[in-house]
Amino acid sequence: MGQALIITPVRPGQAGALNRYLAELPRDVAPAGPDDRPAVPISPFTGVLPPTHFARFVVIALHDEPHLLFSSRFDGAVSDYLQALAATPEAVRIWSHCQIGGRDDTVDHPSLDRYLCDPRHQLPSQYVVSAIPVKLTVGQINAAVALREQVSRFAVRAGDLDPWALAHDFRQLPAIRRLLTGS
Amino acid sequence: MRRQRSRSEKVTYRRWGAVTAVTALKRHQTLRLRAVFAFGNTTTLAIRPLLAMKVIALARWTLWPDARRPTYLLFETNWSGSEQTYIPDFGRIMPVQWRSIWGATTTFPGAVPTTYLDDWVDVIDAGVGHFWTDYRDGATTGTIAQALALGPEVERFVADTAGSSSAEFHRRWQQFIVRAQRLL
Repeated sequence: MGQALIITPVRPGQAGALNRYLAELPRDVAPAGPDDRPAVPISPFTGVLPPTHFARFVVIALHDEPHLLFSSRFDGAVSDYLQALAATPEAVRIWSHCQIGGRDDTVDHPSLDRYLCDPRHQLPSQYVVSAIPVKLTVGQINAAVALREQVSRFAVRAGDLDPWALAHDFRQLPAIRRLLTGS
Repeated sequence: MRRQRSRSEKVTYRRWGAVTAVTALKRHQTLRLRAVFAFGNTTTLAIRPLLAMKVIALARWTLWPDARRPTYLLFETNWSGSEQTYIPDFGRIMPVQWRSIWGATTTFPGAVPTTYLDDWVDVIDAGVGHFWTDYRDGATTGTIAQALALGPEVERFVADTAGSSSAEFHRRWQQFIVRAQRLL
């Protein structure tokens, strides 16, 4: 599991605009409705970056000056993840409110890529506690949760099934089929 | 800069809560904190009660490396469960750990009574501007832990019932359900 933490000074007078832009990005808030599906579109970074366990952008105050904090835990190499992040138009928009120290301080994809992938800008965390084993990928976690959901739902209706239907229907569960085929 | 928000304005993201807390350190506390964190990295003994809650998913402490005073401690956490009980439970279960870390900060009110702690975290929490996770809907700290424990049980059941008759499958299913009930 890779992780990144990058803190960047916000340009003077830009904190409000940056906060507004971050707040307006599509995000999946608390589930609404009986099917437990997000009521609004998912984050623009989902499916674009390597699988992400948790990630956040937030404007914080350090020495009474606004700074952008970006942090993420993800699958894969740090450089691959940050390169993919720098290639998104949303990331360029976000960091265009910040001082990344280019020649004319214009933020575009190449300058953001250089900035994010520079190890000097990546902060080490001194202490990390994770309840989720660090060796597991998002895909493995999602597969395990899907298996549990399917077996739990099946267990509810299993009492009404005769032995033949019980065995047949169990083996037809998508997660069980994947187990049986090894895919 | 600090966002003063009422509790009702807080947002959970799908099932995940998020706190981003920034606190100034008292003078001469950086080395002590580094020692606390170094000890924390050597053992999970001190955090077992926290992990046993099956609420917190991630907590990360970072010292902001800047020569200027004050130095800052950044704390990020994600959890699933009730926002109303997360911080109070955390403080009640692990007051010594709270004191050993946030006792180094300038405004820490103490872990107990947790009412003050909860109010303090509300003040120092910058929240998140944008948050995302690629975990599927339905994933929580608790369901992930159950799912990870259930997986090997299901694999064993599938292996044990490969090629078995319907009657034998039914018999083993009954045993499986008893064994795995707490994980479903």
